[in-house]
Amino acid sequence: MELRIVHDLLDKVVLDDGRRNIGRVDGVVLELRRDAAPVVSAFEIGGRVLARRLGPRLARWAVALGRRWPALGNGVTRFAMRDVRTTGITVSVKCDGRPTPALAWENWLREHVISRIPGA
Amino acid sequence: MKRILDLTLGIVTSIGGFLEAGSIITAVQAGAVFGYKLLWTIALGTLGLMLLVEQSGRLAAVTGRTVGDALRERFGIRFFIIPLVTGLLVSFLVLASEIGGVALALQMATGIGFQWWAMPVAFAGWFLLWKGNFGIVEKGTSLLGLVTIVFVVAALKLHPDWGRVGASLLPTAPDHDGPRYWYLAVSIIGASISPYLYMFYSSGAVEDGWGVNDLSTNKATAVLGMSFGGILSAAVLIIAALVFLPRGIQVDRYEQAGLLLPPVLGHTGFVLFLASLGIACFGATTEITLAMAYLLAQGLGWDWSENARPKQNARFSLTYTVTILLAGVVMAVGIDPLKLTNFSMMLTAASLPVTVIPMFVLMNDEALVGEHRNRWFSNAALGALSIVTIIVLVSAVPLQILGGS
Repeated sequence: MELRIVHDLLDKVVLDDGRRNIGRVDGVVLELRRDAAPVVSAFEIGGRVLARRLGPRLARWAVALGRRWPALGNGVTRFAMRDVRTTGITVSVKCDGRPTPALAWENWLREHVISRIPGA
Repeated sequence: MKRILDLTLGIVTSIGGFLEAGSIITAVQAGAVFGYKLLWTIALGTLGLMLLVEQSGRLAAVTGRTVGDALRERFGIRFFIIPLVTGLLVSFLVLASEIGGVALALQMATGIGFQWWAMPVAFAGWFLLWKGNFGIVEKGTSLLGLVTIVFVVAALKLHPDWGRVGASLLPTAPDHDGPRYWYLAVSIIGASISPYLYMFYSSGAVEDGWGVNDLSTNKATAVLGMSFGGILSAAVLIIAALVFLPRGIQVDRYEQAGLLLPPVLGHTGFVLFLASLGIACFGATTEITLAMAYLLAQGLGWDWSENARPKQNARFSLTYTVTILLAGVVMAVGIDPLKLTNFSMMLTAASLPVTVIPMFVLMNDEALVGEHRNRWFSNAALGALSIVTIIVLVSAVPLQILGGS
């Protein structure tokens, strides 16, 4: 199947089975094949992946930041293309996004910060 | 019936929410020094805003995507990072100015210095965002903001020379203080067309679940709401021209603006000015804070909605919490609100091209907006506006240096 990476995949919002936003497609993983066109095997969500697209210096900072404060490093979430339901204006995947690293920060903040403020 | 009610509410909301610290202060300064001469910049700014509000509302109604979403999706992160960073930076300074506006109104009412009010104001704004929903934040503060109609009443009571008012709608060169004139011209454009306004508007359209059926409401809100809103700014300028110019009062301190209405409406005028300034700036405070949280959440693909409980979208709620409190701190350390307002209006004006020019691509992309894409008229108007924003960007730094104080 032909896929227009920039038009229908890269930078689109990723929705999980519960229609939750789990992030945006920050990068794609290409599989190079001998004697055949490369295929998109997966896509990734994560600050480190995004930083890589913004430039080598930012990418180095992101890696250094993750090493210095591992808790800050969100990790990278990778979805195989076989788990992708649709692409286009948004990308939906066949899974529950909640336990993935992409929502680790969201979950941590909800539990440790936001829920403790009255009225949340 | 419901449609007419929605339409009326939409228009009333945009009138009540139109004025804020920047539009009030720049209009007062312009009228005080140049009389009616700078009215054309309010007209130009209002037309520009009308155009952008209509297009961003149409984008949201047709595609369900906000301007923030569409900018990242269509142009990718390598471009999107520019409007994201400039948008957040400029909006943050404008936000601090708005908190300063509320704090100054409270200072003039109580005699207690504005620095002491900054954190309570920021906290009150946060509380409204935390406990309220989109309708309360948008419509609640805007309905109270209708008190700003007092400026139109006062302007009418002063019986301005309508012939000269009309003539000032066309640009003219200044006969004195050229740099100051052009500095204020650019500031007024920045105060009228703030990117946070159409970012907020398109996010609001998504919050309210707009579809193609709402396109007529969108058009009417943009045209009528912004026109009436522009009349409020014009009224402020006209009053300043008739009250301050003959008395030689130049507004270099916020408190001087408080003298705008008393000569026309007596003590009630003073009270109504404070109420107008306070409410208008408070409304803008909550809207800018939300607009910033929307932009970041949309850009990074987080869940966002002011209609959900704060803990449902933890990163979004944390963003507006940190943003508004930090902006409060900026005011609490005692930065001059008037200087900050002037500076941030200039910066806003300079930041316009990065969001205005990409609108061309978005609104002409058939895959995105289909049959609702721009016609020749919208494109021509957007083209003219883009040229204006580029001229503004190029002239912003020299004007800030030459005409800034």
